[in-house]
Amino acid sequence: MESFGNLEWYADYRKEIGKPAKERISKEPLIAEEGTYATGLWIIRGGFARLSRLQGAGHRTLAYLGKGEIFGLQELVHNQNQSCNAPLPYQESLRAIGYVDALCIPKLTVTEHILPFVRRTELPPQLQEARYQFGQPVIDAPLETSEYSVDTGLLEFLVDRRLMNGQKTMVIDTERCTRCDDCVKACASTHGGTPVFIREGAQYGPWMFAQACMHCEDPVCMIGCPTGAIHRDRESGLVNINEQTCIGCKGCAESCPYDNVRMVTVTDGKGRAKLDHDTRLPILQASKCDMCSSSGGRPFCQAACPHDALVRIDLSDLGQVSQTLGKETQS
Amino acid sequence: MTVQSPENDVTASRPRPNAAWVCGRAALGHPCTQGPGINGRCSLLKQRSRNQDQQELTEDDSKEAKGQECTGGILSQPCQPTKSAWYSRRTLALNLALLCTGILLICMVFPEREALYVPGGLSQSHAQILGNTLVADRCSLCHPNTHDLGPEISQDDLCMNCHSAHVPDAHRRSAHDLKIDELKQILDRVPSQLVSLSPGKSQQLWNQETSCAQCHREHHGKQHDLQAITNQRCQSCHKQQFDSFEYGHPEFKNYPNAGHRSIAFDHRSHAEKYFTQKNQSFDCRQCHLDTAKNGVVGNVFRSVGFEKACGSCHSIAIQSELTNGWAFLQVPCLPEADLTMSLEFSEWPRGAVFDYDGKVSFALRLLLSTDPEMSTVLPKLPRSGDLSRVRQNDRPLVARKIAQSFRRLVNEIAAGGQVAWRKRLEAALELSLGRDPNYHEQALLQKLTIGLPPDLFRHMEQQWFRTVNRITDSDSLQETLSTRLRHVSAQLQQESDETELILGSDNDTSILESDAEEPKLQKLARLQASRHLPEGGWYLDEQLLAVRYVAQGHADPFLAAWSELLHILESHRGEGEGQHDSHVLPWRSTDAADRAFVPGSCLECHQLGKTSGANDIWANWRAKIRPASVRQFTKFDHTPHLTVPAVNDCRYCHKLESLPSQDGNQQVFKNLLADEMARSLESQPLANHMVHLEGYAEDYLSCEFVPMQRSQCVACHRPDGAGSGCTQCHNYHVGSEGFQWSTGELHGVGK
Amino acid sequence: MKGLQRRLFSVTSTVFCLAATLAVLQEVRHQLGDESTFTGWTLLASTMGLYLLSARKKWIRLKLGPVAGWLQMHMYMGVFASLVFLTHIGWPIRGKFELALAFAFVAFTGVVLGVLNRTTPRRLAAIPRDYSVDQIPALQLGVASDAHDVAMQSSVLGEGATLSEYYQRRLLPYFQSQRSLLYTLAPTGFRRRALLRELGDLDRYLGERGLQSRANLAAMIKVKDDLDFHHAIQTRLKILFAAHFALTWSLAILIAVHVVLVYRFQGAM
Repeated sequence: MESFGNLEWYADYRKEIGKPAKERISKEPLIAEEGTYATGLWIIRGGFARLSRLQGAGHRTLAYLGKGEIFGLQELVHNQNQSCNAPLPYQESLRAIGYVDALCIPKLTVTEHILPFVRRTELPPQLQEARYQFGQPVIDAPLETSEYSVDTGLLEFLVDRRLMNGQKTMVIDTERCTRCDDCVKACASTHGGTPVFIREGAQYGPWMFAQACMHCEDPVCMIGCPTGAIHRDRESGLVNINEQTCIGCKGCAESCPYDNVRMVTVTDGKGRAKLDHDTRLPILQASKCDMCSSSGGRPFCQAACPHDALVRIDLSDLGQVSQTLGKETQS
Repeated sequence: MTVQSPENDVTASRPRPNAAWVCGRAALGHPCTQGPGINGRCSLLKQRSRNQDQQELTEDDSKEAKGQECTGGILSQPCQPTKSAWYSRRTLALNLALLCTGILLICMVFPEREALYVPGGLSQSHAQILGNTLVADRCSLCHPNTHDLGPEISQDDLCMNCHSAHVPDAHRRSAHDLKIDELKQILDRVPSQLVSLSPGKSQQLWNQETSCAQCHREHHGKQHDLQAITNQRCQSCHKQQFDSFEYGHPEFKNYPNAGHRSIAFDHRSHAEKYFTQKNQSFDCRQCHLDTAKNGVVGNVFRSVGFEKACGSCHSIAIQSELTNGWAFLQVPCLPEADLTMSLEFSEWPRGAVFDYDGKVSFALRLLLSTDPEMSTVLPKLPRSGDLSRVRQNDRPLVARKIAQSFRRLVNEIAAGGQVAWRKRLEAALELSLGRDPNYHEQALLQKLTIGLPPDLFRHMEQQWFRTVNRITDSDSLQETLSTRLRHVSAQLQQESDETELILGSDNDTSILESDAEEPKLQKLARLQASRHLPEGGWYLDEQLLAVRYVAQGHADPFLAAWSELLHILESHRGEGEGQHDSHVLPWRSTDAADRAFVPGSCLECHQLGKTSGANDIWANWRAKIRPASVRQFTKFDHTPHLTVPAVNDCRYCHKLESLPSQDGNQQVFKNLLADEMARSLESQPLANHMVHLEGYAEDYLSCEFVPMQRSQCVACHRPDGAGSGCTQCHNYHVGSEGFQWSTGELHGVGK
Repeated sequence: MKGLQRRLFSVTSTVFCLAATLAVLQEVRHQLGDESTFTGWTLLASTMGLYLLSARKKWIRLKLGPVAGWLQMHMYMGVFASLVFLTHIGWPIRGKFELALAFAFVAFTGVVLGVLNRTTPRRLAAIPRDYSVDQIPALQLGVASDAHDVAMQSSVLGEGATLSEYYQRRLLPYFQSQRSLLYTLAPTGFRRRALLRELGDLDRYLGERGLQSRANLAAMIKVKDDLDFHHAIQTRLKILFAAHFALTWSLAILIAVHVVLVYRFQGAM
C-alpha cells in the first residue's frame, strides 16, 4: 500500500492550472512507468490515476483509473501464459492525479495465488500487438485510436480539469441549448429564489461543464469544514451542506477546485436578506447544488430543460462518458 | 480549447432569474447584492427612505446608514431597476390582453356592435331584406337565441316565416320535405341499388330531422350562393356512390319519359307522311315553342294550342265534319196501325208514320231512362238502338212504349224548358251512377243545358204533335219519307249537298209560280245546317224529324261536355260492373252512330281520362302542363339549351323512333312496364294520386322517341363545362301539395 | 435512441390524431352534422393542450415529466391545431378575423421559434466562448475600454499615431456602440471581416510593438464581434419568444368571446 501525491492537491492545482499540460503531467507522481519490468499488479484504493503512454515528446492520456480499478493485469497474464518468450514490460504509465492510494500485489503472489483461481473468460483479452517489447523500437500509435472510444482530447480535458472527479456533473450540450435559462429559473424557484448553480463553465467542443456541484468522488470541499456542515450523505452518496450548522467560513467555497460552491446571503421567504443581529451585515452561507435531494428523484434543472440539452452524468465512469459524450464528440 | 476560468470570487452574488426586476447596474457588470424589491424599486432607495424614517428616532442608526452609503461610492447610488426578460414578456402579454378586452368592450358600446361581431356578410338577398331593419334587430330575425323567444321556437321556424310560400312543406323537417308514408313508398319501390341508406340508419330515416342551416349556410359573404350544395351532401344519404355525372351516374332508362299524354299525336306519321305531302318542314318549335311564356321546363310546352299548332290543317276538316249537325233526338217511326190504337199517336207526325224504324240515339236513351216505364223496354233494344233490329215479337210493344215516352219527353221539355231538360239529364245521370252528381258533373250538365232553345220543343209540340198536318200534300210527305229513308241508309252526310240542290230547285220553281206578283219576299227554304247554321247551334230537322245540334267547330263546349259525360258514364260502368246492374244503358255508348259523330271525332286526338292529381274525373282537353308549384325530383329547363347552337335542333335529344316494332329499346320498355305493372298489382295499390298506372302504361307503349343517352348531356355537362352538380338537375325540396312520384322519373331503375 | 423513439411516437400519434379527426369530420359531413362545431371543439381542446406547456413551466415543482417531452407535445399539437384551424376557418376566411389573425400570428411565430430553437444553438456553439446574455453589456464595455487603452498606449509608444488614428476613426464607433436592429435580426460577419482587413493593411506602417498592439486590437475586434453575435442571436430568440407569448393571453380572451358568441347566436344546428 502506497500513497502518492498530496492530499490537499487542490491548492497545487490552482497554482498550476495555467502551466502547459506536458509540464504538469511530468510533475505528477509516477506509480508505474511504461517500458519497465512488470513487477506487480496495482489496485487503486483512492483518488485518480492517469493511465498514459508516451506519444512523441509528450504523454498521451488513455484513461483515468478510479477507486477499485487495476493496472498491469494484462501484462502479467501475458507473461504467465507465454513464459517461454521474453516477458512484456508495462505497456502504459500510471500517474497519480493529485492524490492516489494504491495497493501493489507483487508478481509472484499474482501468478501463484491469484491467476490459477481465475477463470480464463474473466481475464483480460490477450495482448495482440505489444507496444513495448524488450529490445525493440517503440512505434507511436495513431492518435485517433482509443481503447475507450472517448476522444483523447476530451479525456485530457477532463483529467486536466480534474472533472473526472464528478459523479453528478452537469453537462450542457451547447448545440441544443437555446440559453433560455429555464434550468436556472427552475433551480431558483425550487431553492428559495436563488439558483445554486451557474450556467457557465469550462467547455470542450459542444459540451459545457456548468458550475454546478459535481458531488465529487473525492470531495475536497469537505476537508477542513469546521462544523462538519458539508458532508456526504450515506445513502445517496451526495455531498450536502447542512444549513443549520454552516457558519459561512468560506472554507469549502475556497477549496472547491471547480468554483462550484459560492457564499450567498441568507434570505427569508420573501427574498429579503437576513442581517446579522449585531453587525447588521447580511449573513453568508455556502450554497451549492444539492441535486434537489429534498424533493428526491431527478434534479429540477434537468426536468426543466425543454431541449434535452442538460444531463447529469458520472464522469468518473468512462463507460458513461463514452456513451453520453463520446459519440457526438467523435462525429 | 481551454478557456480561462473566471476569477473565483466566492462571494459574488448569484443571479435571481425569477425576480421580476433586475438591478439597473447588472448590465454594467456590477449588480448590487440585494437587487431591487418586488415592486421594482431599488433596494438602496428603500433602505435610504427607511433610514430617513429612522433618522428622527435614533441618530446613531442614521449615522451608520450614511456611513454605509458613503463607503459604496457611486455604486451605492440608487439605480433604475429594469424588468427581467420574463417579466417584460408577461407585461407585454398582459397589456395586449387588456387592450384586446378594452377594444371588445368599446365595441360593445356602439349601437352597431352586432355588425362588428357578425361572423361574415349575409348573402345578397338576405342582405337586401335586412338592410332596412335596425342593426340591433337584425340578428333576432334569424337567431332565436337572441331574443326572448321560448325554446320551442327554432331557427327553422324563423326561416319559414318568410319561406313558407315557396317551400311550403319544409317545416316538416323530413327528408325532401316528404311525409313519412311518401318516403316509405319511395323507398319500398326504389331498387336498393339506387338509394340505400347506410345500415342502421334506414329505420331512423323517417324520423330523422333536418334543418335549413344544415345545408344553407349563411354569413359566407354576399357572393355566396345559399343554394349551392356539394354533391357530397347528397351522397350522405344516397349511398350509390359515384364520382360524378360523367363517371358512374346511372344511365337514363326512359328519359324524358312521355308522361301522361292527353293529346294523341303521332309524330312519326306527321313527320313522314302529312308534312311531306304538304311539302312543309316538320319543325318541332312550331307546335312546342312559345317564347312568350315560361313553364316548368322553360319555354317549351306540350302544345302551344290547337289554333297555332293544328288549326292550319285540322280546323277545316273538323268544321266540315260537323256542318250537318248531329241528330240529338229523333222521332221514332211507327206504322200506321199502331198510331190508331192510341189517342196520343193520333197526332204523330206524318213523316214518322212508316214502319218500326229509326234509331234510338244514346242521348235519347239516356233521357228516356228516367221514365219508369222504360226500365223494361230499353234493355230490349239492341246496342245500336235500331228499332228495326228489335226482336220481331217485342217490336210493336217496344216501339210503342218508346214513342209514348218520347212524346212525354217532348211535352215535358216544351212545357218546362231548360229546367225540365236539365232535370231529366240529372235524373238520368243519377240513375246510372247510383249517386248524386258531383259538382263537376253538375257543371257538365249546365254546359249541356246552356243555349238549348225551349222554343224548338214548343215548335215540335205544336207543329209536329198537336197541329197535325195530316192533310198535307202527299208530295211533300213523300219527299220527307224518301229523304228519311236515305238517312237511314246513313248516306246523308255525303249526299247532303246534292239533296239540297235538288230540293232547292224544286222550291224555287214553286215560289216563282205562285207568288210572281208579290213583293220580293223570300220564300223560306227548308232549314239546312250548312246554309243557316254555319256557326253552330240547335235546329229542328223537319225532314228527319230530329232535333239537331251543329257544333261550333273545334272546342265546342256542348260536344265537349257531352263527350265528358259519356266518358264518366263509361268509366263508371267499368268500375261498377257486376255490382250495379245498369241495364238501362248499353255498355258501350260509343257505338257506330255515336262514335262516328260525336265523341269519336274528339277522341281521335283527345285522350279523355283521369287527370292525375285529383280525385274527380276531369277531362284532359288541354295539353297537360305541369304546374310550376309542383316540384319534381328532376328538373329541366329547355330555354337555356335552345340558345346553344349544338342542341338548338330539338332532335339532338328527341329522336323519333325509326321502326318501333323492331327496335330493341321499345321491347325493353315493354318488359320494364310489365314488371312494373306486375309489381304494383301484387303490392297494395298506391294512393289514388300517386301513379295512374293505366295511362302510364299506354304512354309507355306509345313512346315514339328514342330515350336520351346520358352521353348526350355529358357532352356539355362536365365540371369544367356547363356543370354537373347534383342540384343542377335535381330538386331537393319536392314536398308540396300535389307532389307525385312515379318511377318514370327514376332513370336508374333495373339491373 | 430515446429521442428517436419519442419523435417516432409523436409523429405517429399526431398523424393518428389527424386521421381520426378527418375520419370523424367525414362522418359528421355524412350525417349532415355541423362540421364547425366539431372542428371548433377539437381546436379548442388542442389549443388548451398548447397552453399546458406554459402551465408545466410555471409549476415546475410538480413532477410531471421532463419539460422537453412537454415541448415536443406542444410542437406536434401545435401542428395538429394549425391544421384543424385551417379546416375550421375554411377558405376564404369570412367575417372579421382578428381571432384568426391572432391564432395565425401565434402559430407562425411558433413555427419560426421551433426552427430557430434548432438552428440557433449550433451557431452559438460555433463561437469559442459562451456568454450569458446578461453579462454581455458589461463584457462589451470591458472590451471597449481595453481596446481604448491599447489604442491610446500605441500612440505613446513612439511608433506614430497610425493605430490610434485608425482607432479613433473606425474602431471607436465599433466598440462603443450597439449593433443596429438589422444586425440583431440577421447577424453577419461583414463588419468584422472588413475591420480586420483594414487593420491588417496598417501593418506596413507599424513597428514591432505596434504590430503587437494591432494583434491585440484584432483579438478584441473578434471578441467584440463574438459578443455582438451572441447578443444578437440570443436577443432575437428572446424577442421571438416574447412575440409568441405576447398574443397568447389575448388569444385566450378572443377564444372565450368567440365560443360565447357562437353559442349565443347558434343556428339550428
